[in-house]
Amino acid sequence: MSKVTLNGLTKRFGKVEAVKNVTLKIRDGEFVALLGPSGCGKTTILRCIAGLEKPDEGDIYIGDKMVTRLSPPDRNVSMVFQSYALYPHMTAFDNIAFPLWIRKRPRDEIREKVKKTAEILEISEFLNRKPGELSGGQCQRVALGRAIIRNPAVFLLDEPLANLDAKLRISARGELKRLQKQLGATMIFVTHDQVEAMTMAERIAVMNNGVIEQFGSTDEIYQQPANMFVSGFIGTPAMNLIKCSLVERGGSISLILDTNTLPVPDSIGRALIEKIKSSDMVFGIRPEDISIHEKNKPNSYKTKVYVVEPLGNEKLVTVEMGNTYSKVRTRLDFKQEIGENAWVDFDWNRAYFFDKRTGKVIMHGLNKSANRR
Amino acid sequence: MVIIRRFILYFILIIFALFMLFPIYSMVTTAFKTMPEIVGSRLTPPTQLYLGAFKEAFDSIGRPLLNSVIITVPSALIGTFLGSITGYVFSKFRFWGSDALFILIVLGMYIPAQAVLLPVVKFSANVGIFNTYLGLILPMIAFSIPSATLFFRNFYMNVPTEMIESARVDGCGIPGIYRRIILPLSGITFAVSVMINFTWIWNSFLWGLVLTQGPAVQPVMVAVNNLHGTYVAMWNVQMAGSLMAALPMVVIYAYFGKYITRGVLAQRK
Ligand SMILES: Nc1ncnc2c1ncn2[C@@H]1O[C@H](COP(=O)(O)OP(=O)(O)OP(=O)(O)O)[C@@H](O)[C@H]1O
Ligand SMILES: [Mg+2]
Repeated sequence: MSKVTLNGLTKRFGKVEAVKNVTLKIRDGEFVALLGPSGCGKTTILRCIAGLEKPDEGDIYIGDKMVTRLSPPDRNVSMVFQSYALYPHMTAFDNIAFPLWIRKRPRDEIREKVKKTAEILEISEFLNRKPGELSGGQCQRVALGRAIIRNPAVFLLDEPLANLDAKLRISARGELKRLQKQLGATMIFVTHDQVEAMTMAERIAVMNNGVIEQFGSTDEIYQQPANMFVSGFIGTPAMNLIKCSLVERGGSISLILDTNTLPVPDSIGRALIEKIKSSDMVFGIRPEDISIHEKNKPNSYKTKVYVVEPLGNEKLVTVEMGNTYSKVRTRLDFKQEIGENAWVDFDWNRAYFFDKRTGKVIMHGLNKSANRR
Repeated sequence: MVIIRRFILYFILIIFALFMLFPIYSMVTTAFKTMPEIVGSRLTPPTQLYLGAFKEAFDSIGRPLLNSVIITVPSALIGTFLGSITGYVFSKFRFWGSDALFILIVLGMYIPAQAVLLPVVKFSANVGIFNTYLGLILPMIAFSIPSATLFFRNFYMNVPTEMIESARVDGCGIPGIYRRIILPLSGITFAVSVMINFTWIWNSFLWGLVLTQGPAVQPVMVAVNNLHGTYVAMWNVQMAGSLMAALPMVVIYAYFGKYITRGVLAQRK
């Protein structure tokens, strides 16, 4: 097991810059997710680490060894492809044994190790079948088996659970996490499913457009998003982002949303004023940090119900605030229907403020001094 | 309406079929007739099965038949094998000049034999392989590489690249991947390519004609052409010889054709 370091990694495909100057330090034995929307360069990073793509700039270290110019067989990594890439003419046994077979290990050792690997993954019964005769979940485990049968410095997994059905995916999530702990392995996996990333990984690298927007634990990414992209990507539904400007009138501070005024608690307003350069900003608040009421309450803000989505144990209400729409998570007994009025108020301690131009976080309510400028 | 249209269609098809089948009929019937019988009536079926023409033909083309086997089998196999290696490399690896090299190889398909006839003969004589088996086998292999390369490259394009990359990451070298993954996956393609090569090499008349002298190495197609008598045209002997020369191809297609159809269907599944 080894740490993995990317240093200023850049990869271009013709004019497309798939990965832009990415620096990432992954610890020994860490379970890391590369999370981001389609086409943001996750697979490209993984392939660069495996040696399947040559970076245009930057260096890659596995352990303390620079591997940038080594070919894939010399890097001692294991990779599970999204398609699993099993060999169709070999049985599950031979597929799993393949890496040892290449290394000309003795037969007894191979048989022993395949047996053990199959036990860990609970696929002992299927070892004589070929990939064509296995289900998606079984194929996935055979592919994992082929990766874990030797002791590579690092495991790379490209959307390992994407081909599984929803139910199987949830159980596979837990299994994979346990497996990683059991092996104590450095694992990097790619996903565009934030729940997968948040539930499995110790740290998540949130990617967008070839850059890493933030690298941190689930809590950090959720509680302290570095910028608008991260806050808008994480959470189901994601944080509401509302364009507004800050004004001070007669000693009280408010946010102006379109034509409406939203008073801000003094402590937060003061702290904000000290930090901003321009009054234009983006106000962010998660759906669970807004309360919604059927009747007017002091300090609440009048809105119109746009749509109501019952989720079984709660309701998701979209409200119209001026020209913007915000999602609110609320109790099941919330009564108002589409078109009716509703009043919302915000948990200001959980509000975020972003620089409209750079998208970076200026401040968030919980930790009034926290910012990354 | 439909029936009439069908009728017309089948009528036309039958005419074409007869057009193709008649020479075969003529060849088979003539081969079993005696010369006087042929002179008597050209198109009627033979009255008895006369095998003398076959015996006579075999006396002159027995050795060339063996020559053809000795030349064709290794050429077809080696040409296919080399084509599958180049096809694999060109489908899965890019290196400096790979595109240009591929185009150069494929261009080889469009070079007419007549254009390189003299240089090949001259070269063959210079290196001392004129009128030897090797002297025919080597050019046959060379000429089968371009089409085999293209054929295998197109097939390997459909083999998922991730499978090869996975093997690379697992520590397998490029030759190892060919041996352990690519080759085992190409069974049917291999058989088809061997058949295609076998066909044209077996039937190749021109190269046998210019690269050999006399029956010792001469392939059967050239020998058959020499069967016409010096003073009288021995039609029955010629036809019997042609039949014997064509027989291996017929047998191969009858046998492997079925196997290939089955294989292709199995692959589609
Ligand atoms: N071989 C290639 N040639 C040209 N462009 C490529 C190639 N591979 C990737 N790209 C481009 O690079 C960018 C990043 O691709 P990449 O496959 O890394 O995305 P991804 O984050 O893995 O997306 P997904 O979630 O859809 O798998 C994309 O814009 C893609 O079109
Ligand atoms: Mg991808």
